[in-house]
Amino acid sequence: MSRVFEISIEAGLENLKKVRSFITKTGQSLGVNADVIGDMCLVVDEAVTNIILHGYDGQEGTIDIDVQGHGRTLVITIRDQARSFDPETVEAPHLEDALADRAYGGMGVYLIKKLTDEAEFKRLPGKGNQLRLFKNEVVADRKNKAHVV
Amino acid sequence: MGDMSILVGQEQGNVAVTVLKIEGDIDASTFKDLQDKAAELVEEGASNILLDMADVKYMGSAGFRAIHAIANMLNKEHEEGMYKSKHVKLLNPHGEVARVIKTLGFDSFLEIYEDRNAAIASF
Repeated sequence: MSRVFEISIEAGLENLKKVRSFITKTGQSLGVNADVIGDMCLVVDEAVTNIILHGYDGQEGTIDIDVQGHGRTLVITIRDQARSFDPETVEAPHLEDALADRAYGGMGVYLIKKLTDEAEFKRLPGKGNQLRLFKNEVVADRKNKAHVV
Repeated sequence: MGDMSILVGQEQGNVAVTVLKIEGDIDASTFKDLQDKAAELVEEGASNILLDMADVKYMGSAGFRAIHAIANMLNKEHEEGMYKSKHVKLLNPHGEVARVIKTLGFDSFLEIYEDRNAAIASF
């Protein structure tokens, strides 16, 4: 059985804090440890920021996020109806280069890939996009938890 | 709008150091405020900036973009290659903020201090 938590926000940067708060609360409900919750807040914030800035690009729209615990895997799904923004098309930042030589940007997508076990992007039939983020072995095992209690 | 505030202070070490005490979250909705405040101070003559991160609860890639821009504003010698910025340094980042600094490799390019006096004396 899986537990699902959902939130829907208007596509505006002022809602990023609300998104991070949602990820924190759902992560806690699923027994995910604080470091992983911190990483997931970062990853979802970066993904939602990209949708707002590059997908909706100033247009109005909504972003739907759901968080599920599939066994011990945390699965976060982000859907929008914006223009497609495929993270795979973003060039990786040159983290080894000196700051003066580095281009700005590209770090969000790098963080999404680095901090998740899998990030799967697809265009939805008709209109819209879906990004699913997987983090393995982080959701508390309910049986074990019950046993400990 | 953004849930971030910046308190500006001046300290005198070997040189004048402008301390920006940042409180709150640095994300895509707030990073420009930090970048603009630093640009304004540089315009007014600040040439050494210490970013006090002790009360920053969250920083995403937008925050790094702002710090990167500040480092470039202050790189008046136009140094190239591998160097740590001599003119922008960090004080007391912690928790998730400290971890993401490492993940993005910014600790290779920025001096990070835990002690305020040591940070000011280092400029």
